[in-house]
This record gives sequence, C-alpha cells and structure tokens, in this order.
Amino acid sequence: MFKKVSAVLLATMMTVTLLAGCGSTPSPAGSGGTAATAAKFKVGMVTDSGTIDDKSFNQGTWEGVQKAGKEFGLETKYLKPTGTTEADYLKEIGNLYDAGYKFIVTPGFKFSTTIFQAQDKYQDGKFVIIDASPAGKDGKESIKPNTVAIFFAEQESGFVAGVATALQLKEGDVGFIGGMEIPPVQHYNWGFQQGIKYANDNFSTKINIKPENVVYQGTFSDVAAGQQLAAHMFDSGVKAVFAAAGGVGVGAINEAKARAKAGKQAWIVGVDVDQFKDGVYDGSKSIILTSAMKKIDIAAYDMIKAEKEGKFPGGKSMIFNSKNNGIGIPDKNPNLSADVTTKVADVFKKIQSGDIKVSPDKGSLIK
Amino acid sequence: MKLQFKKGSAKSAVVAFLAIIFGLLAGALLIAVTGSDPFTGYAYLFKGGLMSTERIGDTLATSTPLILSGLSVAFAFKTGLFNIGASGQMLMGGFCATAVGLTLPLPFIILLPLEILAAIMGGAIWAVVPGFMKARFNVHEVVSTIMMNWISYWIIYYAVPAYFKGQFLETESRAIPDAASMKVNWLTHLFDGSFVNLGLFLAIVAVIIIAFILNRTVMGYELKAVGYNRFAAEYAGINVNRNIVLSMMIAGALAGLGGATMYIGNASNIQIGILPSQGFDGIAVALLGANSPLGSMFAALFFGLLYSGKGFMNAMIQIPPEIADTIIATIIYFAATSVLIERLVNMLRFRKRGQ
Amino acid sequence: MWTILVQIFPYAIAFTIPLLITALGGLFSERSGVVNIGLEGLMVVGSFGGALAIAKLQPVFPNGAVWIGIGVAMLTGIVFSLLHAFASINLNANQVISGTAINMLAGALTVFLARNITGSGNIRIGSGLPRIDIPILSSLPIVGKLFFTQTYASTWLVLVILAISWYVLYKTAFGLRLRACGEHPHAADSAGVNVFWVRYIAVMLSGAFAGLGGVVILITYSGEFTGSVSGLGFLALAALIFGQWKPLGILGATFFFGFASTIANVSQVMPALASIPSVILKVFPYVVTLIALIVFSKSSQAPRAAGEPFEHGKR
Repeated sequence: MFKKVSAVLLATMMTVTLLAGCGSTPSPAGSGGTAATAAKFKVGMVTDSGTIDDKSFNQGTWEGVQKAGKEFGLETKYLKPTGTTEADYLKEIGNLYDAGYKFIVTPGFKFSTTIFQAQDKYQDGKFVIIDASPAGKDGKESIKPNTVAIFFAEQESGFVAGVATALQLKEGDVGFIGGMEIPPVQHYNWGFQQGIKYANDNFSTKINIKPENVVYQGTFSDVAAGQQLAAHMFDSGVKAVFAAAGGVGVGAINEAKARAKAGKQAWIVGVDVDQFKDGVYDGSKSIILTSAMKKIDIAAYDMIKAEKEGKFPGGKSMIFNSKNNGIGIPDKNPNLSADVTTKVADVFKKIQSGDIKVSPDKGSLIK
Repeated sequence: MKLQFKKGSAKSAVVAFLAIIFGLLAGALLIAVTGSDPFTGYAYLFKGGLMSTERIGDTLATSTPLILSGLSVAFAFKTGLFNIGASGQMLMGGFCATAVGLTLPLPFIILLPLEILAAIMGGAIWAVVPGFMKARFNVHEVVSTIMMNWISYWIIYYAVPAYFKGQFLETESRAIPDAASMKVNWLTHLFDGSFVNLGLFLAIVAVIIIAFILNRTVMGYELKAVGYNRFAAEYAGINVNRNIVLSMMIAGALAGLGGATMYIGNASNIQIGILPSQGFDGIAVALLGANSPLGSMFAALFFGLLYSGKGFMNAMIQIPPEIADTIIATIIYFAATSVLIERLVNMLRFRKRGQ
Repeated sequence: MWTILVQIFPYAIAFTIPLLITALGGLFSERSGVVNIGLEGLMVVGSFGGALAIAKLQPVFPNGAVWIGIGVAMLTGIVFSLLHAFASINLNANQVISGTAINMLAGALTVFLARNITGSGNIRIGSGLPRIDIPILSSLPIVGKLFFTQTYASTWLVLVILAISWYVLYKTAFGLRLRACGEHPHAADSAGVNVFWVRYIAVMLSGAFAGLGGVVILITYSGEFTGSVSGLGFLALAALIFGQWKPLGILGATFFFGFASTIANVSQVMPALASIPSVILKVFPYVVTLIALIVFSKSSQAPRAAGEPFEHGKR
C-alpha cells in the first residue's frame, strides 16, 4: 500500500518538476552581470515581522528603497519571510541574492545574527542592517566590509516629541504604549519621559506620567489590546498617548479617532514616520499630536546612493541623530501651535549642539 | 463525529495524485487571472526548492517538522481522533528541548538524547490532557486541543523572557550552544551550508517506528480498531479509554519531537508570540498522505518543496508567495471531497469499458 | 472595583459581539446536523469582503460604506460556506476535514488576493463605526452606564439577530424542523422535511453570521484586514459547546470570554490587578473553558446527528 502511494506521489513531484523545467525562461541566478558593475545593481529588502505598510520601519525602509530605485533606475523588490527565525530570514536573503538582488536592506533588530552569517556567506553581496549590528551567537559584534549597521538615537526623537507634547498640552496626564520591550522602543519611552521632565523644569508645564500608564503590550500586532489599553488610559484621564507599538498603535489610533469623533479630547503621539494621515477623521482633522520620527527612508536612500556613487561605507556602524537630522518631529502639524513649534525647534538645536544631553539609558525612569 | 476513510490504498493514491493536479491547476488559474504566467511562476517555484544542493537541503529541512506534525495528526486519526493541537504540542516540545539545551552544559552525545526526550515528554503531556478528557468525560478533542494551544502559547510567552531571555531581545530565548543543536558540520557541508540537520533522520526513524507500530503490533491493531468502530472494539474487549489516551500521547510525542526539530534544529532559539503554523499544516499533510506514515512523509516533502520555493518565485516574478498556501489549501479541499474525484474516476472507467 | 467594571464594560462587549454572532452561526449549522469548524475561515473571508468593499466605497459614500461592507461581508461568508455545504451535504465528506480546508483556503486565498490588490496583504479602512451613547437609556442608573454608553450600532444589530434567532429556533416550524434534522434526520425525513435543504440554509446562515462576525471586528476595533482573526473562530466554536448549543447559553459563554480577555489585556494598566501574574490572567479563559467542558460533559446537549452525513436510504 505504501509503495504505491509513495510511488505515485514521487511521480507527481517529478512530473511537476519536469513540467516546471520545460516552461522555464532565462536562468535567473548565476547570470551575474547585473550586480558585478556598481553602476547597475538590484536592491532587495527583507521585511521584519509585520507587513510592508506597517506605518513603521518596514514602510519607512521600503519608501527609501523605492525612492532610490526610481531616481537611479534600479530594480527593487521586497520579500516577506514566512516566520521570524534566523533560518526564515536567511532563506529570503538567499532568494534575493539568487535572483540577482545583491544589495540587501534589512530593517529590524532581529536581523542581527542573520546578517552576521549572511555577510560571510554572500561576500559579493552588500548588506544594510537597521537598528542593530551583526552579532554572533556569543553576542560578539563584527561588521564586515560588505555591511553597514545603522542606528538611530530614538531617545532624542522621543525627547523632542515629549517636549512638544508637554508644551502643547500644558498640564495633565500622558501615557506610553510600547510594543515589545526591545531597545528601540525602550529608547523612545525613556527619551519621551526625559522630554516631559525637561519641559516641566524649563517651561513650567505640569505634565504627569503615572507608572501604570507606561506599558509594553508585548506584541506589535494585537490591535484589540492596543485599543483597550488606550481606551483605559483615556478613561482614567490621560490626554495623550505615545504609541510606539506597530499594530498595537493602530488600535490606539482607532480608539482616539472614535473618541475625537464623539467630540472628546484624545491625542496620540505617532512613531517612526509622520502618522498624521493615519489619524485623520472628519475631513482634515487628525488625532496625531505629533510624531517621534526616525528617518529610516533617508537612511536607506542614502546607503543606496552611496553604493551607486561607489562610496558604500562598508564595515562601519553609523548613527542617525539630531546632528545629521536623522531624527525629529515633522516640520508641520496643525495640532501644534506656532509658539510650540518655535520652542521645540530651539530645544532641537540645543540637542544638536550638545547643550541638552538625552540619555539612552533607563536610569530612574519608569520601565 | 466518526472519521471514515476509504479502504484501498491504490484508490487513495490516485485521489492524492489527482488532488495535487487539481490543486496545481487551480493555482495556475489564479496566477493567470492575476496577470502572471503560470508556467514561469511554477518553474521558479520548483527551482526555488530544488535548483542547488543547498536549496535541496533547505527543502528537506523545511519538510522535517511537517513530516512529524503530519505523522502526529495521522496517528491520532487512526484512532478516530482529530488532533488540531499539534501546534501547541510542537511549541511545548520545542520549549522543553530548548530549556534542556540552555540549562545543561553537557557534551553533544549526551545532550541531544536528553533534549529529544524532553521534547517528546513535553508534547506527550500536552496531548494527554485532551486525551484524558476525551476518554473520561467525552470532551471533544477539537475544542480541548485548541484551548491547550492557547495555554501553551501564553505560558511560553511569559516563560521564555522570564527564564531564558535572549541577550538583547525579549521576544526570543538565548541561542542554544552548538553542542545543543541538531545541526552537525558534516551535514551542513554535504548540503553546501544549508540548515538541514539531524532532525530529518529523526523524522525518518519516526516514520518507520510508527509504520511498524500501526501495522505489526497488537497495540497498533487495537488503536485502529478503536478508530474504526469504538463500540465494536469495546465489545471485543479492547480498553477503549486507555487506547484513546495512548493514541493522543503518541501523537503529542511526535508533534513535540517536530517542535524540537524546528527550534533546536532549523532554528537555534525559541520565539514567543507565534503558534507554529507547521502544526496546522500537519492536518493537510496527514490528509494528503491518506493517514499512512509513508504517505505523510511524501506529502510533507511535497508541501515542504512548495513552501521552500515560494520565496524565490516571489523574488523572480510578481506572484505573491501565498499562492503556495492557496495551492495546498485547494489540494486539501479536493482531498476532502475525494468522493467527487472517485466518481470522476469511475465515470472515466465506465466510458472506457463502454467503448 | 465598580469603576473598573464600568470602564472596561464597553470594550468587553465590543470584544464579545463578533464571538457571539459567529457562535450563533455555528449553532444553526450544528443544530441542523452539520459540524462547522470552518468558522474561523468564514470570519476571515467576511473581514476580507467587508474591508475591500468599505475601502473602495468609502471615498464615494462616506456614510453608507460601512453598512454596504457589512452586507458584502455576509454575502462573502455565504458564498464561501457553500463550499462546506456542498462537501458535507452533497458529497457526505468528512465535515471536520472540509471545515479545515475552508480555514486553510480562507487564510491563504484572501491574503493572496489582498497582496494583488494592495501590495501588502493588508486592507485598511478609513474609519469604522462611531461609538454612541443611547439617548435617555444611557442616563438610567447602573444599567445605563454598563449597557447604553459607548455602544456600537453593530452591537445592537447582533443582539437583535440573537433575539430573532431564539424565536425562529424555538417558536417556528422552521426551527423545529431544523432541530429535528440535527437530532433525528431520518425521522424528520419521514415526516416530510427536506433535510438537504434545511441543512443548506443552516450552513449558509453560519456563513452569513461568521462573515458578519469578521466584519464587526474590522469596523469596531481593528480597522484593518490582516488575513487572520487570531483564533476567534475557534473560540466561538468552544463557546458554542460551552453554551450548550443554546442561544442564551452562548450569549453567556461569549460574554465570559469577552470579559476575561479584556481584563487580561488591560490588567497591565490597572493597579488593582497588577499584582496577579499576567500569564494567569491570559490563560484563565482557556482553563475555565476546559473545566466547563468537563462539568457540562455529563449533561451534554450536543445535537445527536451533528457530523453524521445523511443519506436517504440509511436507517
């Protein structure tokens, strides 16, 4: 019985493979050529958990990749891995590489060990890793000449957003909802708290953060929980929630929109990209007070441009912060008054000049 | 709910074969409708899984957990039980194996058997609970195993960060040391750096053992008798309740082992917040494999090939990789409605005779 | 405690409603004798159909789009449920397997199509239903705060459907026939009931209701189709058994789930509950269900013929 079943199945597999072989068009891999010259290369991207339109780092990276692709006439492609293990990530990198996409951008902390292996495995490939640097199992970091690691000073971005929030609201409670408890999210949180404190000390605002209103939900995807957490915070008197939480943040935004529509006050501070549009209700109003941005799109774009010009800064770790305008809040947001915008711009300059130092550590802050 | 499966293996092989063909045809139709060329698409799909030694290794490794979860579901089916909880059992087994690997600083040769044992126990315990509830209280296993899935999901969600936190990440455990991994150098080299590992051999051994148990032992005979007709089996003096618990226990052990091949084989740590989809795919594997151990193995290899190749297809041509999952789901629907296919076959036969 | 209760009540109800309507769909199907574990998949297709319709129509009809979306979702659910009806009623296929195929197909096919439509596999809608306080009723003492503030129109729609379902099931000839098909299909057949037809209607109802459940998630709290309803369909199945295949039973069971999971979700921000380890709150609903299943097992009200194919000649 087994023999027959297996024979038939095997036969099917072989037939299918043969059929597939017949229909094949020019061999994709190995035809090299494309990536050999620096002027013409293909750019690939592997997404982290979440989709390409996550309004966060996947989307930011992809926008940068696409912009560069359009400008320099390069082919671009993103792949979404089926799982989140190292094997899943490596498989997609291999797929891109074999398909001729040898310049590969990977956004997210989780790619650390993957790129550590990939940079050795595909030595004529180029890798850009965002939010982390390649590290082995033992935690030892090593950036090879074909890799660039990019970091962002999220704490500075959170700080600026915190100052803006405090100045605009003047008094009352604010809260924070994080996704998973990973360094970039923690940095946003700690920076935000420092920013609120700075505004309270220097601009005599009276903004308060209660410890129970600072939470890490634990996922980047649980929309329902995000909505319920935000609702609970708003109900207990919180005026604005800083949501650095992917899909959980989407839930929080939905909740704020529902409240704003009913004529109640509810603000969200967006994250990673300018989320103003996501918070729009009733035509042109938005519940996004401001957004703590990190300009991933620019980072991705810059790296592709550098490669195009033969100046790929391989082997280096780069930081995007206030000094190189790699972080900040959007220039325009009608929800912030002109006065607030000016004051925030001053604070931003002070961070740039080093007069204000934002610590990337927890210290005595909440969570 | 009684599970009825047609006797006659040649028939089920033909059904499986036709279901695959129909599934691929439906997939081709979908690809064409969405504006791509199905032939090119399929070419890349199969190339992606087979075009190099490394990719063949990756395909085998992708299939490994599927073989074991499929075997788990198939085994429970034989006793008339629908084990929809293979995911949770895999997670529990994988967690136990990872925990042992991270805790005990032992040499590979001692550590690996201990990890395997832990995985088998973890999975078995997770399946015994629904098994016992079915036997003692007649609680339907579909619901109880799903509840067990979520319980394991949340336990691991909190246990991993609490006890085995990664160096930087809260969302996964530390990486297991090399001595605790199923990856071995000679195999990695043989397949040009693929992540194929000893799990594959464990899966093959499991297939052989399960085939032996089902076809050559009294235990296997009793389990099948319970599945075929519970009341007749009871009348014949078989302890039905004991066999139900035993069947779930073995099914859980297989799934648990599957979890180990995933987390300490293909990967090198365990992640939180995800129920492994391979557990649900086990249902598809078992169904296409007509619940036979060897059939399940080939079905798992076929599905593994589709899963393994879809990323490359997506890289080469504008076809979303979910086409692979759609093809598999269609195959399962056709396998589920096998009556239709059987009628078709009979009709064709009649025509031939008539002429 | 009272303030906490008042605060989380509206969200607990919002979470309960999709479960309730889906379980109710399952009730019709199972009471007619067809086991439907494809509820999860039917919710997914409902959410897909609804999201697509709403996203496309919202720019044109900002106000009516959501309601058209609800209609489309129910229709999509019905069409997809026909696959299950055909397999389990016409072909006497194994109903559990057919349901599994529905689940797999729904998850894969909808994301495949969404990837072709939006590029990402997600479909986001502009806005869902607003939350409203019911005039007059919301100012009633106690119940006003709990039931009539911050409610969605869809909640009332589902509760009306529940009431009608109870009436149809227990007070009409059709209800009697339907229940007969699930208990003694052959007796029903000899009494002149068209078992095939009744079962078809029941399965289609389960498709429509599960589709509604899927779209309710979309228009109340998620705002986005993502290819999954995170196991709510299976939870609805558990609630159906927990609620002993009775409309009011499933109302209680689904409300328990809604309430327990809302508490687990917001416990992080409630000082009163912060001392309980989160894992206990998270597994609580599932463990209680297992215990409830054991407790109810003695007096199980399961439809006797659920899962049994019906053939005319078989006696």
